[in-house]
Amino acid sequence: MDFSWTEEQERLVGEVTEFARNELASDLVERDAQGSFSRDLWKRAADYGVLGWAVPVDQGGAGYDLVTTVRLLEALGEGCPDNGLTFGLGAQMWGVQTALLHFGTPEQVERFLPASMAGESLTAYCMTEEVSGSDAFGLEGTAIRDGDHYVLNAEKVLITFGPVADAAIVFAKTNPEAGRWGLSAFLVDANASGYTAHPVESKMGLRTVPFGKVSLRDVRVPKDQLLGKEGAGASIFTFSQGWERSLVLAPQLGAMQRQLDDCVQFARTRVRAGQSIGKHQAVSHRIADMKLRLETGRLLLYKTAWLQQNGRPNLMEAALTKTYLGECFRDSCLAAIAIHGGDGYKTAQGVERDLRDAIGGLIYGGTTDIQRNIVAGLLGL
Amino acid sequence: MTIDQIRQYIQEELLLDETAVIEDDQDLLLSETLDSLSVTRLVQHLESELGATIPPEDVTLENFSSLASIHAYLGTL
Repeated sequence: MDFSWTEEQERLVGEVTEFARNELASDLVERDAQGSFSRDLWKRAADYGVLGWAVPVDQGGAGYDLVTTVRLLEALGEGCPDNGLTFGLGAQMWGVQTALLHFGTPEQVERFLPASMAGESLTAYCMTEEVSGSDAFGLEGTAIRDGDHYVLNAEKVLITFGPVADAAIVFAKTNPEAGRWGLSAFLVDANASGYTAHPVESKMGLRTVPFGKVSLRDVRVPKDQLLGKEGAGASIFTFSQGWERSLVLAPQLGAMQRQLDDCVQFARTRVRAGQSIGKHQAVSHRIADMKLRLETGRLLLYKTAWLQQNGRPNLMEAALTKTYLGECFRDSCLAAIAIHGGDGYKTAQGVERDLRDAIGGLIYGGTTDIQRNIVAGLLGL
Repeated sequence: MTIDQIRQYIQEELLLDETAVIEDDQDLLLSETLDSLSVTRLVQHLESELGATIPPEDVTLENFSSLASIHAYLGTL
């Protein structure tokens, strides 16, 4: 087993970290307070190539393998303290681009992928409804065939990029009698008649990436905007969720590295009662645990990405990764606040922002409870 | 792969009941005999046994609703 990186990978990691530190960190306290999404930063990340890292070369991307890509996303998360932005980039890469690449027709890919990679078009992934949530396939939205079109009616909630998206992948029932097996997926233009993007909803963390409701009222979608086969919606969702579950938390590892470095520096230089606070085991042991969570999280993520890259089953590993990285970041955020004391509680320091952001990782893309259901089920329980 | 081999895997590994009766044409999906996780596990098992890839978009009601339809679908790979 070889744990080393190539010189080229190391060079890329260094460059990405520097880019993120220099270009993707501006005005974060204000943007977090206002809950505002920066299209300018999104475009900067796209212009740097982030949204093409995992896209094959023949589709205009960089064609990096998945282990390299997650390492670069980790570097991005280390340099960029805007966890909302890095989460949004991951959601676009794994939820939207992966579905397009695997299920899109050549015409659909040509129409949507280049604009996505260029950061010129944002696509929302519209699955969740008020009645579904963790019962993902329990949605009620419908898509009824009418000649060369489907007529979509649905109320989607908690949709990342919903308020600002230029297009959407919408899941709806084409065969309502068949439950989850009657779902299909559609590519829908946000300017279609009957498509309504509702205002941004305020939330606890990840406040720099917008989410909200999307309504579809008698939206007529040409049949050539069906994504994949009719009735394959559940399988498409399961497939893209597998990718997202495996890889979307990669930037959080970088955030944990940034957090660890900050805590070590703080503990070494903060002097109380004549010695640095790092000399107190109550502080140093917390930092040791942060390092432990970071290193074990890395191993799990890289293994999961490697399995995914090589087409090997990774259902178990993906569920473990989603659960473990989510909970590790939360626990390290709490430790960071404890180490910083009152300073960690202040908004301007950014320490408390990481904690608010970390809670989102326990919920989106399938809650940690759902992930544990998957693990238990795979263990035959 | 025979229908009986598929049936045996579902009985022993997915339903954890070796005596469960599963007829060839019995519905597996709409009846929720197999939930989504079980279907995913079944697909992975079939891929492993056959050394073939089952495209996710092929995992549909048409192809996976019963032992008979699964067997017929595998014959097309």
